[in-house]
Amino acid sequence: MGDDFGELYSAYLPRVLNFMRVRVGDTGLAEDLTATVFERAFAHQRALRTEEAFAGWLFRIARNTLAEHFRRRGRRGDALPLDDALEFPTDTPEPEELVHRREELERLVGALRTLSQREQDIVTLRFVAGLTNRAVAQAMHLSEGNVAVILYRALRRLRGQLGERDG
Amino acid sequence: MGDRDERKAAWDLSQLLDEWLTSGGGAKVAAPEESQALLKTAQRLAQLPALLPPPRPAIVQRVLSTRRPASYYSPRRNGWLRWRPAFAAGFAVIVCLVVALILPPSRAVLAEWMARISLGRLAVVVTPEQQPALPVQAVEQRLADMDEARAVMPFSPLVVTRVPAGYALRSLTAVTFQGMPEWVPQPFYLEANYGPEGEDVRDYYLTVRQFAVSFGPNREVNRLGFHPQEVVRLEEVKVGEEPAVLVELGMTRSPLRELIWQHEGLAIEFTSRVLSADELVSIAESMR
Repeated sequence: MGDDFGELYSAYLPRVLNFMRVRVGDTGLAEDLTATVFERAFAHQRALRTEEAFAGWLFRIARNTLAEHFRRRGRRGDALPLDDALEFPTDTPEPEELVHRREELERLVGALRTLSQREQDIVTLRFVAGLTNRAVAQAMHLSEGNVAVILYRALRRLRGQLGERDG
Repeated sequence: MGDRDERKAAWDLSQLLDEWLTSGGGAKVAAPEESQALLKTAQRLAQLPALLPPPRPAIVQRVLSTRRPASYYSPRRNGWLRWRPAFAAGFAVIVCLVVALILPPSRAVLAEWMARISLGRLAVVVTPEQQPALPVQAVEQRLADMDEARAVMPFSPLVVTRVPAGYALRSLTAVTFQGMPEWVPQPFYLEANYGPEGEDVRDYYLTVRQFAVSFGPNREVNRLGFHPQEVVRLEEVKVGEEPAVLVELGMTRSPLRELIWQHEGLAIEFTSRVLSADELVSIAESMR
């Protein structure tokens, strides 16, 4: 299979990085964790059989890397606050738009942090990394049905959280 | 909401999400009110990647540049080929075991390796292999006393100087094996039976056999073999400072104890179904 996955790695790099950014908040740390994920993926690529399994396989490595990071830090639930490095390059949106985006980002990530680790993982994999339920199930070692139910409950809770904040 | 209802609602919502996401996020999706509200929350969450800045070129470069050609990582092997060395090793072990356990010569070698005690020139072996029977005929000669034994035997027999209380020398026999090679000295062994008065000495109160450890051009008489089914105990002991072997045989109505010892070129075998191992060792130590 060799270099067949070259384009996939490039395509999935922003997704893994975004997953890490949302989960740990700190861009520098998210970049380090992303680099670790890809090093591990490159080294163990021969374990991957088919292209269809790529997303689930890569994000399983990502999730394990993240869990290992939290274990090492001894703080399972807490992530660092979103830092200034999340700011956009100055040449993209208008300042008001930038403020609006940042507020929305903080609202959504703040609401996410009220969920359990597993719920955070599943919601982030689904909406930030853009995985299907099947790929999320592969990454989390769960059934698709379980993923659907956990996602459903998490969305209900998030709706309450975001409703309060928006209200 | 019951479990079943929740599962159905969760599954329906997932279908709606897939429908909405595959349409690029622009399509209006028909759904019940509850699902519409959750879909709205999901749509807000799906905007998260757009709210995050794109990756810095430096991190893209850093990550993708660490990738090496596939050959850099451990070579890939397909399917069972990866386990080929393990299969080969396992197969070789099985073949060796079959050879060792089925073929008679291998069984003998294996058995001897497992239970062979060397007493110097004499070896005591527990083996399932039958010892080759020599075409010989035993001729017994009753002897009056040890003086006659010294005159008859081709070696100088040792004398038991201490026997258990009540025991006496009841019979003394020189046994000649006719038909053995000439290099084997004859009479082949001397058998002395000790026991209490009035008892049948063939009941193995105490039997002492002595024969010469002898070597010929191609063969040798230097080994005592036992069948494993008969042996219930095998132990290395000391007679004085010299090594000896204690064997307990379980094929008789009471265990038959044998002490085998090599001393001054003689193999000496003490047999009793009455005396303990310590008593046999003590008797052996009294031999002069």
